[in-house]
Amino acid sequence: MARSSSRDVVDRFAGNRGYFHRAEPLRRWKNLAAIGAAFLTLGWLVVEFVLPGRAANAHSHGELANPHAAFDSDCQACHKGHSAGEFFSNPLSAFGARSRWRDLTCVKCHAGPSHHENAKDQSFHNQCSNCHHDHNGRNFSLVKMDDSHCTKCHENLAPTHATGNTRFANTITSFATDHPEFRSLKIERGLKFSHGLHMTPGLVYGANDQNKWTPESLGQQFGSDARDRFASATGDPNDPVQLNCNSCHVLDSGRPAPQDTEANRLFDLKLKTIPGASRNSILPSRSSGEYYQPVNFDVACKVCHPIRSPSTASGGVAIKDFNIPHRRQTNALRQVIRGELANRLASDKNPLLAAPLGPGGRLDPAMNPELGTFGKELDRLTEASLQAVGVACGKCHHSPAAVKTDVLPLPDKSIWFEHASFNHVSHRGLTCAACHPGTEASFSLNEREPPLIAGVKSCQTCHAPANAGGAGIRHSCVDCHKYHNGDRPRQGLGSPRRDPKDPLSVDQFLRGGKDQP
Amino acid sequence: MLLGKSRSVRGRIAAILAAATAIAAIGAGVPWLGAKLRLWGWPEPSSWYGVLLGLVGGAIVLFEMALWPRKWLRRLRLVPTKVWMRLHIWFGLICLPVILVHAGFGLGGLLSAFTLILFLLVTASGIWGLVIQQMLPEKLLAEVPGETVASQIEFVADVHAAEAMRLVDSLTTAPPEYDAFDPRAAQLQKVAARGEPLVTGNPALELMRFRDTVLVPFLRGDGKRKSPLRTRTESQRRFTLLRDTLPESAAVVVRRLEELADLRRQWEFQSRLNLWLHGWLILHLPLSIAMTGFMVIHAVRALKYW
Repeated sequence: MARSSSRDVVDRFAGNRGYFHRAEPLRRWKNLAAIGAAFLTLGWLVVEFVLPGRAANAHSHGELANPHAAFDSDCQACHKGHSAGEFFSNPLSAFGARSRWRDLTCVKCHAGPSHHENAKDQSFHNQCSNCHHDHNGRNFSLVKMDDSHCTKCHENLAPTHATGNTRFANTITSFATDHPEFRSLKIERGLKFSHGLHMTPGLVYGANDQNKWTPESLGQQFGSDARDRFASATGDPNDPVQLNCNSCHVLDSGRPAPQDTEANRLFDLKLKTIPGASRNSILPSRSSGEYYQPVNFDVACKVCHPIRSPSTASGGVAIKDFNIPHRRQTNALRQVIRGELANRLASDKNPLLAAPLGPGGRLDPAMNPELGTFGKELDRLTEASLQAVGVACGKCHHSPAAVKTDVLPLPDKSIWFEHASFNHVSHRGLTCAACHPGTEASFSLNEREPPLIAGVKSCQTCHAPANAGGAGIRHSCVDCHKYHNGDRPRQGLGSPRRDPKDPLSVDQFLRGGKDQP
Repeated sequence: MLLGKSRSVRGRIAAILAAATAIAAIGAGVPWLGAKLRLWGWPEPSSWYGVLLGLVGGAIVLFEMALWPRKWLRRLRLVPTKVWMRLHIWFGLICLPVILVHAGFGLGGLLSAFTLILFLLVTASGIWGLVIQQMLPEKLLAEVPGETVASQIEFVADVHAAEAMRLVDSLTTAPPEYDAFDPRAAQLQKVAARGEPLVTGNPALELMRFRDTVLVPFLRGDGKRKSPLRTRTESQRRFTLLRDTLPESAAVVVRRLEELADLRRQWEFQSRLNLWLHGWLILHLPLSIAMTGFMVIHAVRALKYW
């Protein structure tokens, strides 16, 4: 009898009907893997409770920057934790994750005036992490922000301002495209100074001027210090004097190193121009070198431009010229000159003071009528000297017509970009004239020069993307603009406004604050 | 059909891949491209919509995992299996862009990166399983007509090996006395009437050697990779040779032996297909479990500090 196919199939399982109760290898492996996966998850949960620091590292989306490295394993050092109670009392708060995440406790260690105290949206500016993004690796800079952080408001600034108006450029989208010209270029200088004249060899007024200055002639006129200070590279005392930028402009590099003898020699020559000045007072020990020091008259100018009263005579007394201190307004100067003149007039050779008080005279002699004129003579001489010195002041200092007597103080222009930083050291590979034109032979005397800064275009030659005509060198907003002292740009990082209100001990700092366990 | 109405395998696979691609492209590609073109901001996990997408994605994942308890509780017939599977597949595909946008197209920290990678592997293994399950059953029907329960292949093969032993013995040994009450009495009477084995001498030795060294080991799965019966051609050649060697009366037995070898060969193929057909679950299920666990940990931690 032929076997039916169904019989054949059924016969296969004779004695093995309950096969489906037994796990086949495939199912067995699947179950084992599923149990393994469940244990893996549970294992991690144990780590979460037993080693919360280790677990925190895994939740962090990146290492903290170097200054915050101590808090890699401690979320609560910076983040404010939220309890389940808070969540369940207001479940919708889950959707405010972004603001909760950025609700940090930075001010435990940091402080600083807000960037824009008059910005409309203060809530944005008050959250540090809206701009400073951590968790981007140890070497990530927290202050190198993308331009979008700035253009968020600056591409249309006025509406973001509390008043709806702004005195700054309203639309800036990038440095390369629409950064306005530097406002510093519009500043009117208070000093009549010709870089052209001072940079011309021999400091001559023109090609036909035969009176060129040489180290020798400087020495004869102003003494050996002047000769030594402006000695030529060849050593020939009859070479024309050639000043360069460094003759007057000095980076705040600090005092010369002891072994740098030539720098020390020049330094000491400058130091001698200020009697009694210590090395520390003229060049404190600093090393950043970002900015040039303000040009100091006593250090840079006086050696060739001493301020002296004119020689004069009174009665039979010759009064030699004498040094007048710089940086005095008219009244103060008058007192100085008057004192110096009085000292010189009070000589026993002065007939005005020759009062005969010898034997035979009266015990109460009548006042010498000549002596009564001493004061008047002193006044006359003082005003005459003041007049002469005033003319000397006016050679350099510009005073508007409205200011009759006093000299307007010069603004401190060691920092020209008040809302931006600039580092001269970074640019020292270039000639000064690359960015500061105006030292050519042609110059005008007795006029105030415009600021010798080439302008924003010259910066964009290098600092702009290659496809925008630049050289691709960094051109972000934050490469020049620093914040939190925007309204007081000269204060810098050392400003006391940046000091935290309640400084921490090292232990407290490493724990992430005073409140941290 | 779980996806599309095509009756062809290719059509169904194309529908799955097209659906997966379209959902990912629309759901994730559009937000990505828009952010790249600065039409809108880059998606951020901590934004309100980032959190919302995270919650939606988490809910979908939990629904997907509900397939597991649903299998335990199949007797309750909660929702038709087909409907449930269709939802499982569609929600699984939709979950991909939801989670990618929630993640801001980034990996985040170690744990969230691990969770996201697990999620991507789960999705990929799911799509792979879906494609495989469109393709292989048809192949199984076409190429394994003697299909058996996959988990019982080794058991049935042992049964067949025992049958092969008996069949060869019936040819090479003297038939026993028959039982008159046996239902097969008439047939057995004929055999018993022979009085001596059907196959004797060298052919019998050859047959027994073939059974012991080639056929039974092959049926039992010992050294099946090296067995000459592994390929259909060689198998046919061997059995033709055997048929020529043995008397005509042994042809029925030889045909059965060949049939057993053929079934075993089919089941080998079935085993391989079965491994592909269900093997992806060894990846899909544990990864899903781990991913769900880590997702919950991630969510709790994120809600605490974010």
